[in-house]
Amino acid sequence: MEKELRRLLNKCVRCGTCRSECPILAEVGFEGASPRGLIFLLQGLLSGQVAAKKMADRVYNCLLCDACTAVCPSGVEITNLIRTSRMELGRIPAFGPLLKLALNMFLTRPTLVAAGSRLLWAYQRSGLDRALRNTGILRILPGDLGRAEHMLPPLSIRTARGMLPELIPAVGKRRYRVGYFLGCATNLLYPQVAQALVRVLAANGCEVVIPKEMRCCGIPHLTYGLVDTYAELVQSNLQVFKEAKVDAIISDCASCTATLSQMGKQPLGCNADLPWDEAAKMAKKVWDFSAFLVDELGPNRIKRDLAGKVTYHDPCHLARGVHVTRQPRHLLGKLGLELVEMPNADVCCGAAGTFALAHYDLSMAILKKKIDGVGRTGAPLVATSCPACIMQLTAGVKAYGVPAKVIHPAELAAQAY
Amino acid sequence: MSLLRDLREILSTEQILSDELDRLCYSYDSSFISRLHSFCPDAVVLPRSVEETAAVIKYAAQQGIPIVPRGAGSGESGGAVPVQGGIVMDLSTWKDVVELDVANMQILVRPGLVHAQLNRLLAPHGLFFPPDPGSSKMATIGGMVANNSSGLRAIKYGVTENYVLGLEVVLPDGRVITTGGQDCRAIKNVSGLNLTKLFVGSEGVLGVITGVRLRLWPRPQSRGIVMAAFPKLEDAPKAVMAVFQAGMLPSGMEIMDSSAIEAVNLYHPQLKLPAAEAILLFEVDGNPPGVAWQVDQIRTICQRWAVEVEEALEEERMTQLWEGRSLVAAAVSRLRSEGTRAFIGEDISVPLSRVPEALRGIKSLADKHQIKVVLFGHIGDGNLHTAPVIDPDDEGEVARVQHLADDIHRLALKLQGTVTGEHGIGFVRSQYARQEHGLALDVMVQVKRALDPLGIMNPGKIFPSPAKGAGADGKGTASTAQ
Ligand SMILES: Cc1cc2nc3c(=O)[nH]c(=O)nc-3n(C[C@H](O)[C@H](O)[C@H](O)COP(=O)(O)OP(=O)(O)OC[C@H]3O[C@@H](n4cnc5c(N)ncnc54)[C@H](O)[C@@H]3O)c2cc1C
Ligand code: SF4
Ligand code: SF4
Repeated sequence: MEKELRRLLNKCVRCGTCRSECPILAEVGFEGASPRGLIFLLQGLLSGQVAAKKMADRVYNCLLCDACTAVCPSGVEITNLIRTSRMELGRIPAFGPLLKLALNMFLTRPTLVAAGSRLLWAYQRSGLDRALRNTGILRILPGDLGRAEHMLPPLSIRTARGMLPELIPAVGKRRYRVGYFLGCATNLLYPQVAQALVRVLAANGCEVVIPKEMRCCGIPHLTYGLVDTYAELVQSNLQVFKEAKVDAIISDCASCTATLSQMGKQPLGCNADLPWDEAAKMAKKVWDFSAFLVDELGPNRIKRDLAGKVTYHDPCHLARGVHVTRQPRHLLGKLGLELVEMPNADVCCGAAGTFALAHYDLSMAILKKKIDGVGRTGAPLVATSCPACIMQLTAGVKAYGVPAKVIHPAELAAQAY
Repeated sequence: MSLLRDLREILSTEQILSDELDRLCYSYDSSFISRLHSFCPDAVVLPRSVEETAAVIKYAAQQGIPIVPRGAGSGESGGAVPVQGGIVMDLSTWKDVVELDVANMQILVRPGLVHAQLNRLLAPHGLFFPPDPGSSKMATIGGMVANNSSGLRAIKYGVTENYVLGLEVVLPDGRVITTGGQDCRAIKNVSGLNLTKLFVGSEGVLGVITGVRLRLWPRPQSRGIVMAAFPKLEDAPKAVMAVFQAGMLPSGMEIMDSSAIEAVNLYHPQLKLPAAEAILLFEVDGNPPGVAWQVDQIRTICQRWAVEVEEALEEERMTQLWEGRSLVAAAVSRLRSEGTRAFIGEDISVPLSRVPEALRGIKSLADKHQIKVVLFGHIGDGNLHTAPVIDPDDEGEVARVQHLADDIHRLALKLQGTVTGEHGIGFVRSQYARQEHGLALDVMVQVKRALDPLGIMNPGKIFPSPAKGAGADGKGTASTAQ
């Protein structure tokens, strides 16, 4: 492993191309915050020049947005290396053992996730959230958790899982049997997206299965370097989809799509004995919702045209993880909307999973640039194919006073069917 | 730590980096030699005004602390590396446009503005800054001026110095001057000694550039690219000469050898470049009928030797071809699984008539030292880039690649060329200065001493140390500027 890491790190020629893309560097400015700087420090870590305890926080100063990796001429897998180092350094700043426990125990079990979210819902409904915000007690939460709390959207009492049956028949002739990978965020925060997606797929001749046993895609675990738990999730999801006998696996979440598309790739430092080849085959069946609709189904039976302007934000994991940028735009056009591009549509919005929780100010600064771009388009709608981006952008339009509604393409599509 | 305490009197805390890891990240640029050593600065500062810059320099002069200016650190010669410690001045966060004067086709910018960003903001005004380094995405204007950078369009448009109307410079004693006339906006100006040209290409040894007034050119209406694949490497230079002889001056003439082609295909698989011993890329620009005519002429000329000629006229294809070529310098690492590209011996420039000899010579030197090299470059002006791909963990290869670089530099001088066409001397090529410049080197040293008697500005760069100063032929007086 050490040899392999050294080989991968050696690939960096220090050309600095990655400097041009990093949203964090654009905010803070100094080399140590750049992808090249991180790679250099990781080289130092490996050779013993840099002390592990000084690196532990630094590897979390990254959105894992892949913007650097996508442009690196030399082919350095920057984001993967950062992920691996997180595992090696094995420490989670700001959250500490609590989050680790949550990731290992909680997110891996669908029923526990749902139970947790209901507690949160109760907290919001009780008015306790406002009361706590007023007393400022949230400020004592670890890291920036307290300040970031307002980013959480109001939860609905019912999860998507609770609203939708396990099997939804196709409308008319069945063309495909698809599995819907109902991700944690959509399930808990945006059940209306799930409902919309299922409706549109069914209307286009898909029989949709939502297997009960499906578990988290594993991205939080990869992000925090918990590769063994990740491997467990891959194994279990692989089994679930095999049993469900589906032609395709559809996701409305950019992060789930990107992670599942990589499920055949054994992460660095993971020795789990899994049928990775089989997982790789399954990974080929994974589709982003818009990509499946546009490239495979052909969105035909649209009942009515929508009108007005819309702008589109490219989620990092969709644009760079699976190179889906054309299809959501095409879909919006097909629905009758006028697409107005924002500048830097494919720059990270600053959400990056829990990044906003640990680096509130930085995340908000990155978000502000994004929202300025949205504002300049004058579009009343911002579409984006990722629940985490929806959450971040919604907080952004509110915080910076831009009158736009953030929405998933599936919701817009559902309005047209 | 009195250094830090003193700096805090001048700058805000967030403009000073003292943490060891933060400082270590300023111990390199892309040069291979900086990879082999650890040159850690004592502090890093990020000034964002002339006053701040001058105050730091005045303080450094009082204390005799070296000052090392730095842009993006994309330089390939170690220019921005603090080889004698001291304070690194990172200017990359100071990137304002002070004034865009469209009517007079000029712009005044701060040093940290990145080349690609400058051209992006000029595009809507129908203007551009023509020099086009492969590092356009990261190189700063300050770094380009300090290195007198050029790149893929130098053949027609020249190099950075052709576009600098005037500079604001903080001298090593803290005085601030404006060259090219204090209030002058004239495009033609021969008034006084040309100090602007003195500072362009001075690699940070004469002062810190804090403002750059650039002359801009009207953006051509259209462009086109001809890509020709040659079964024999030696035929490529023949096609280049034939294009010149036909009375054409393309805006770019680039060569890539078979390995460079492979590397670009690995970086941008969608490009699908044909396998060949060499590919030439010709870019022509101007008005649409002129572009069409030239594309046609160049195609016909190339067909004499080439097996395949493509006319690329779609914007997307052209952008990708150009970007593939621009970044091949770093993409060559992809050719070898345990290998990486070493930026060393990478920038010789030779007279046009000797390009074939140089290409052959480099290949045979690489064979002699058993190092895999990739060749590409700005063939239209004889500027050839050699990219060794080595395993940096293999001590033998690391030693051999340094001998190879030395031989390549000597080859360039033998062919009446230079050791650096555009990347600069830095601290990795100063040993050839005596042989290349003879007595003129002593005058350079005098200029340096006159402006920087304390030797605090970017010490260890350009000028050979006394031991190396005699040069290869042993002639001339040993000299040092520090
Ligand atoms: C992949 C790749 C491709 C490249 N292609 C080309 C090419 O086609 N053509 C070309 O010419 N070069 C090329 N280069 C080299 C390099 O990018 C250029 O020399 C560039 O102009 C350096 O800019 P920088 O901002 O990175 O400067 P740095 O590397 O930070 O500094 C370069 C030198 O300038 C000095 N300096 C920087 N800023 C200032 C300032 N404000 N005042 C005084 N001194 C200063 C530094 O001390 C140093 O000596 C390439 C490099 C790479 C990695
Ligand atoms: S772009 Fe790649 S090779 Fe270049 S500095 Fe960044 S990580 Fe290193
Ligand atoms: S993944 Fe994004 S935030 Fe992290 S280093 Fe790369 S560009 Fe910067």
